[in-house]
Amino acid sequence: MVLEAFKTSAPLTMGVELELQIVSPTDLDLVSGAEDLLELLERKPFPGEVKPEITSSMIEISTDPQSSYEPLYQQLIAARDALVAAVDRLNLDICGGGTHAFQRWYERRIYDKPRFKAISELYGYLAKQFTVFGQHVHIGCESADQALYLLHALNRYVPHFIALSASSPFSQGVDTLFDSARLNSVFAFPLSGRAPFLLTWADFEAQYFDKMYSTGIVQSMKDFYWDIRPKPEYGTIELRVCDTPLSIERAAALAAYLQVLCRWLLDTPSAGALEDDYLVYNFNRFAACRFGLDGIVIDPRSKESIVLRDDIRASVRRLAGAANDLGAQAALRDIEAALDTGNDALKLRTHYLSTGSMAGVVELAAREFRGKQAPAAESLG
Amino acid sequence: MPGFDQLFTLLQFVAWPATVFIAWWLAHAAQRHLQWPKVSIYALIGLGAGWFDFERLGSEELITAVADAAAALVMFELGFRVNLRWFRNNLWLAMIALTQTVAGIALVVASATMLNEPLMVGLALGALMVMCSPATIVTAIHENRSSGQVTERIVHLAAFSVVASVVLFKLMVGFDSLRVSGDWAALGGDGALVLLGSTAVGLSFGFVTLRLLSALENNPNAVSVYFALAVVLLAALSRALQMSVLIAALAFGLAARHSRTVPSAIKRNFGVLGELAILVLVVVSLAQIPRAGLAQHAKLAVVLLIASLVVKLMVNMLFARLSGTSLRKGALTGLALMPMSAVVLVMLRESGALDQWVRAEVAAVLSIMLIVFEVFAPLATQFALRWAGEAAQQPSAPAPANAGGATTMMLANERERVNGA
Repeated sequence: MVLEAFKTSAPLTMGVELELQIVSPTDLDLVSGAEDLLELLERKPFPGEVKPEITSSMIEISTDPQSSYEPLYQQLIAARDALVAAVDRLNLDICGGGTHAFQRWYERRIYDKPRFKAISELYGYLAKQFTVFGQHVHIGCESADQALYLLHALNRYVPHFIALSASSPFSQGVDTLFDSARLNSVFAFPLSGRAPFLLTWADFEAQYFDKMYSTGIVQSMKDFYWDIRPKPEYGTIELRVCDTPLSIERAAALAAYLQVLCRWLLDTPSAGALEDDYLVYNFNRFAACRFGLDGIVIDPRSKESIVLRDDIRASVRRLAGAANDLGAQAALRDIEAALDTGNDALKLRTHYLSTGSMAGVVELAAREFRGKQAPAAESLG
Repeated sequence: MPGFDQLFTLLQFVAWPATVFIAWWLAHAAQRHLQWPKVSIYALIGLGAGWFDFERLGSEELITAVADAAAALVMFELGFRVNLRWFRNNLWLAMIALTQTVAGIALVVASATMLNEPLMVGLALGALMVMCSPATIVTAIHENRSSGQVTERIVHLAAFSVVASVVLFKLMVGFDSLRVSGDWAALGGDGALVLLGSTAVGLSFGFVTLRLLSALENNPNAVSVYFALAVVLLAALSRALQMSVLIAALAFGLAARHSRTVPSAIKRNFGVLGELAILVLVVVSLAQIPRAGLAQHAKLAVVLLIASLVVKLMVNMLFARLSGTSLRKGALTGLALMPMSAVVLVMLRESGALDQWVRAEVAAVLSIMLIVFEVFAPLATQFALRWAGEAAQQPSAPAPANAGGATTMMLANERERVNGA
């Protein structure tokens, strides 16, 4: 048996990972600051966890497992405030957004860690091009089979999360015309895409993982870059399609939306997935990446075309009861607000059109990340 | 002798362009083959030109104008990189800047006094030695494409050192006038005037030029050339108004940065123009180093060299952790700040009010230090940036791939292919 045993965890607990951009306040370009930032952050307990990512202009924060929206939101705020205080002290800045608007991928530096060096050697320039920034959301599952059920039942909702979180309209200094250009970087990896349609852990292990392992292509679940993947060591499923939103508020709201959705899917067994649902998966995914909330997706069962914005609105209304039970009403209000005002990609694109400045786009992202609660400047001591 | 006259005329035309050409070629060759910083080679060639009295072959006004323009470009670049808010956000950084200045001057004055130099010589040396070489630091950062805490700190501390040095030196000249004439106004007047006046000139100039910029297209080349030309104009204007070219250009850079109206597309270091400016600045400055009376001042120069390095290392290490970095990076910041600016000689030469004997004495000591600092300190800065892990990555041995059989095999085959090629 080579596949790690699936640890169970408290059902529907959630955790968030955010990959963040480290930028220079001088020219707003990405800057290699992860090592200095981590060195400073190590001196005090950090709310959650903070660690390096593949290139030295990235940093990843993660929360502890939380049972509901409010404590998750509060921990993200505490983490954000700790980060802001640290970057101010080091003359750095930090922001969300799925891509940096104008950085040049070839200027990036691989973070000095054996795993990152190995990835860089294997994937060549793809590793540096992977300087993109995502939000990953973990949902706790009480069994491995439950994890696989949720993983596949969620396939129809993946475009929701892409469109709502989309914050990467620019890449390498140009408007890509996509709302989420980040996912195109992920698609370049050979083990990206979706998980095979297997609904029990035993089948998954015997019919897929062991065979893949025997080919020598993979060593562990970490080698799969699927949109949603089981995470046996945590006892969770991990949704990986979201861009890192510009604000902590949106990040917390997206996590809570996923939690409420999972609760509803568990309470509604008829909502489970069929293999044919995946026939439209890649098209719907593309529509969400390219057009965001205005994308038109195909319902795999009714074959109807639906505007994503309307589909999400209907979903949010359907989830009202589950949201009440989980204390996530405020999160769903934020999601509805996004449907009305548009996603972060629209905000960034609108700002660019009015200012004509790519640096201005990054400056806006840095301001949005600080929000209204940015701490006062650090003083002596 | 018409033959000699013709030769002299020819030399007058070609001496400087030829020197600059050779300096550039040798510097690039040395960098490529020996990884030696280009500024060191510029300095060596400049010193050589000085020994051969090339200085005599050019028009002094022209050389001054070129050196001013070059120094102004460097200072604008430095100002554009300085985030004034950082000094407020991290008061320990401001503390480093102040302590380094005060401790540096105190140690220089004490060392000079112990070696029986008059107080005025010690004070003048102290004020001028505060200045770290912006040209060397900016060049080292660009050559190594460095980024990180050491890089950020040396930019900010160098900018502070220039302002502190210019103002303190003016104060010191005022102090000398006070001793001679009893004129108290001379004590603070010049220092305050040069600081406020030059800042006002730089900021007003920035105000106008930044507004004119809005009429241009957002094109990196156009914007870079626009700012380069504006900086050259500001240098001439500052000199005409008898203000500090260095402070005015720094203020202009700060205004451009903090106005946030400048497109990020502005080329770092002004691209080719920036490289030419630093080349000319270093070669010309070093060629002008006085060579009289160097031997008898060697002892004091060596003591001051050591004192300067000790102060920078100790202060940056002392406040390293308090200011948010590691002890190691603190030490490397101190090391990287070693380069001293040859611009101090120009300041000294232009300090008409200072006693002539003091000027000659200070110039001799500074010359020895500059010979050492301009040639070897760029190496220290380069090493510091590399040791700090802030220079752009050099190709390194591949890490063991934690991948499965097929990928490991492909990587092994690739290595074999590359090594065999």
